[in-house]
Amino acid sequence: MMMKVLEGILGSPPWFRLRGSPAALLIVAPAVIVTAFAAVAGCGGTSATESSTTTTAATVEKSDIVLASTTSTQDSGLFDVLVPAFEAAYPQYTVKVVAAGTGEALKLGENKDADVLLVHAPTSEKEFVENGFGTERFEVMYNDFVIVGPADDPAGIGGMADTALALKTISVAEALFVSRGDDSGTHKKELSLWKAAGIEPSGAWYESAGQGMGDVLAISSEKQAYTLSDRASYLNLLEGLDLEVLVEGDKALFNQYGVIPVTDATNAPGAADFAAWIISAEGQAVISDYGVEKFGQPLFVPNAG
Amino acid sequence: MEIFTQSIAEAVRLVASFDRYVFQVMGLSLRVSGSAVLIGLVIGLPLGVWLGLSRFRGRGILVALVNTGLGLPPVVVGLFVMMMISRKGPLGFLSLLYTPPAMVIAQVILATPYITAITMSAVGSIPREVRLQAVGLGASRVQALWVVVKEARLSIMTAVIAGFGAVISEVGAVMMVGGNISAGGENKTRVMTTAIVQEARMGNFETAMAFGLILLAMAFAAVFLMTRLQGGPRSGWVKS
Amino acid sequence: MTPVEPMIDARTTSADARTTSTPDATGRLAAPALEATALVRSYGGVRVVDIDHLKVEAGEMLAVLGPNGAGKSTLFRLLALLEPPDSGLIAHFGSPVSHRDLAARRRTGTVFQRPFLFQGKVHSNVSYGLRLRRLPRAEIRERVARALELTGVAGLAKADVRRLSGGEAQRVALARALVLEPDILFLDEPSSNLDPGLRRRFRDDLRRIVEQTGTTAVLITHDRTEAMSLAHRIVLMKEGRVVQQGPAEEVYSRPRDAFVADYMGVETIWRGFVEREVDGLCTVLVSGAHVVEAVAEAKVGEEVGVAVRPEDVVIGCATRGEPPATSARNRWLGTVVSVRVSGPLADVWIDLDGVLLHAVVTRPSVLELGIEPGARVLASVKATAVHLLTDREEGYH
Repeated sequence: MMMKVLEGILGSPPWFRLRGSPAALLIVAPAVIVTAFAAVAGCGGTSATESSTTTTAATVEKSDIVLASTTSTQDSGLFDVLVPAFEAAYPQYTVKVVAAGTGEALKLGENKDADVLLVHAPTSEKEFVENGFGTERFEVMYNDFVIVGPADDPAGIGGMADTALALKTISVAEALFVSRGDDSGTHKKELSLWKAAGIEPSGAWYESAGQGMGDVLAISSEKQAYTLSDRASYLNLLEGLDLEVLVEGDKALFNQYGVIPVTDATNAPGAADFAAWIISAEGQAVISDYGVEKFGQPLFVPNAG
Repeated sequence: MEIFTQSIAEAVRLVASFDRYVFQVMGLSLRVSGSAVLIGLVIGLPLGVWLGLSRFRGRGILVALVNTGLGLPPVVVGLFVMMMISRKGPLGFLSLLYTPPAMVIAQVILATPYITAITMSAVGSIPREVRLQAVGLGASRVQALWVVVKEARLSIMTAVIAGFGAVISEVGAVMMVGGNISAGGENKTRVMTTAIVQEARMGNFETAMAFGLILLAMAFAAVFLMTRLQGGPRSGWVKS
Repeated sequence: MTPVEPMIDARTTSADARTTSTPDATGRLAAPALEATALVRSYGGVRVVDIDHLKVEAGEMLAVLGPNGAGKSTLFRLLALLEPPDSGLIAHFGSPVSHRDLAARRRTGTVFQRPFLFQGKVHSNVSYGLRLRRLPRAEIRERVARALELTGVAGLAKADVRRLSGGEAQRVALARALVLEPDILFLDEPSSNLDPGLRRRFRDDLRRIVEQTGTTAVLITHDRTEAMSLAHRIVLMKEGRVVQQGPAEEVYSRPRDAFVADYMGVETIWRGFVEREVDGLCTVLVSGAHVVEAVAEAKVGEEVGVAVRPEDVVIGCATRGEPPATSARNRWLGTVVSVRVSGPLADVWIDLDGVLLHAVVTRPSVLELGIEPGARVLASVKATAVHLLTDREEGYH
């Protein structure tokens, strides 16, 4: 939770995440701060679902399902459609989403503070199930990372199919590259990609921001630098960014999500029902539709079963 | 409790080993906040003297604005400065975002109200007769104002210290307009506070805490030095 | 500028000598050091200062006297060019000046009620004005030393101002103004913040210094003793206006009205009617019974105030018959009501069958004459010492 708290207080969103004129932003800003503190006070991270629970005028006895996931999944906005769809199908449940880092989400499962997990760290997930903390792991979907950069593409990596080659080209050209540098999942992914390319990035062209994805995208846009981003974050912030997708589609850039009902969960039936629903044709359809309307392309590719 | 002793040990180790990274970050903190306070003094001192000594229509509004400035959230200032100097902002052509000058600009906005407000009340509390007395001895308007400033120097030094303390410990603005960037082992815009946030986010609480202790020690040393500089406590103007 | 002649305890004569040299005589011998005409200053719609005309001759000390709230300090700030009047003219030595005129201001020096020394050492305070005037270092050093010597604080040059006593601080403040060798020195209640003992010494020194240097000075004070002991001429103010101005002795001995008389310390003021007037000698009937003779100009039948200064009353022992040899025309028998001894003098109040007379006598004579409550005494006053107040607008006590 610590990370989330700090992000709430300190991880200020770049201005272009907010819509409206600059003047409006100044008025909005204090509100942003207030909500950030509210999130801290409420330490449960339930805000994403609260509005949707009131829409179902249910007469049935309701029970809560605590879903632990990652901040980037929450930031993608997927839960805003996924949770209402599930609750429409199963009116007896209310889903509470707790967004944390991957490691912390798994920890929540271990401690049975969560009923079901939706995370994207296959190796750790498999370990989690093998250690008996989860009943089973189902593949749900994947999203992908992209290498984005300025339109004029000084290193000339646009359209390359091989991520390793693209990274090598950037390093040879010493074109500015902004790294998350914060030990996050994305940062680890980036480091593994550099490793696969056989390069240890260093030098003035390789900048480390130690900040979140949104901040790093903002910095890259301002500096007209390259960076590695998950597609969802990039698309969400697209409007304010002067960055284009230059490398995509390589298998190495994929990010597999899995769903795991927690063993002996507080709401075991709910966890099982959620897992079953999300890999069902109905759940998979919601995933494949998400983002099409807004971005003209899906953000996640369903691949259950 | 263990984390505290470990942090203290880590802080001592980092400083004692002259860790290059740590010293670069410390140096940038001091440079950015020091310049911000100096520039803030250049703006805030005359402004504070003016607001403290003159009476005119609309002064109340200006005073209220300055006092509001004391409570400016650094993130809001960061946001504002970012908007102004971003590539799409009105001052984008200057290419200042994510550079130390951008951080100085944001901190100037944060420090100036402190210096202005305290100067204002400091010169306001110097008896009017001190200025009259200077005028009566042949001082020009400006020379007489300078006498008042000199008489209020203790409080003005307090203003500088308060302003420095406020900016060296703020993180919202420098994070936004600085970006906490280091590159190829060279520090670019990372200061103590943003480094603390980063270390904490990465779960390196011990290192974060060690940085925090170093920041505290730095702030203390700077304040101590400034206090010594002004030559100990002084009574105000002499009464009889 | 007229050089000041050495003065031998002749304030009135020297003041008179100067008066003869004023411009309204045959020709312009010398313009007054300071002249103010139609000076008005209002705060919030109230006229705090409203002066038709006021002048200070070169080498003279003028005291502006009056109670609190009379507008003295405002007048001080106007005259010293510290703030502008709403209207009116101020001239130094015949040339109009204003608060914007830095050169004119730099020919003056000011001392306030409180010393308001600047933080630092005594010498840096005293050298302040000279440094503003960009004088050579050596000259500054020499003049500062001289000013400190003059004001009797030579030993304190290197002292921190925080360590000074009240008296020392005010002396430093005086030195700070005198070191400028100003054409006009402005003093706003310079001694009123000092303890009584210090005040007298400060006053004595101030007189000595002003006489020694021949500086023209304007002294603001609410203390008539200070005004009388220092000034050649007195301007008495009330509610922003000048009530009386003239040589100190004249204002003291010939108050224009009851207010002036009261303020100048005349405690005995009776009401009466002029019964007879022969060659400037008036006979006044007070309370229908007492006859008072006075050398004054008054019309028969006119209602007047009769003022008798306490020190002009001579007391003799009634039972021993004749009072001390005196040519006094007024002799009244009365009973002592109250005696208050303070220092070498004693205030005595005598009941003259219904009216009270205030007298000041020396302490030895109190003992010698057996003056105590209930004693019968004979009080006598010269006709020339009785002053008739003819201002009908003023109410008498």
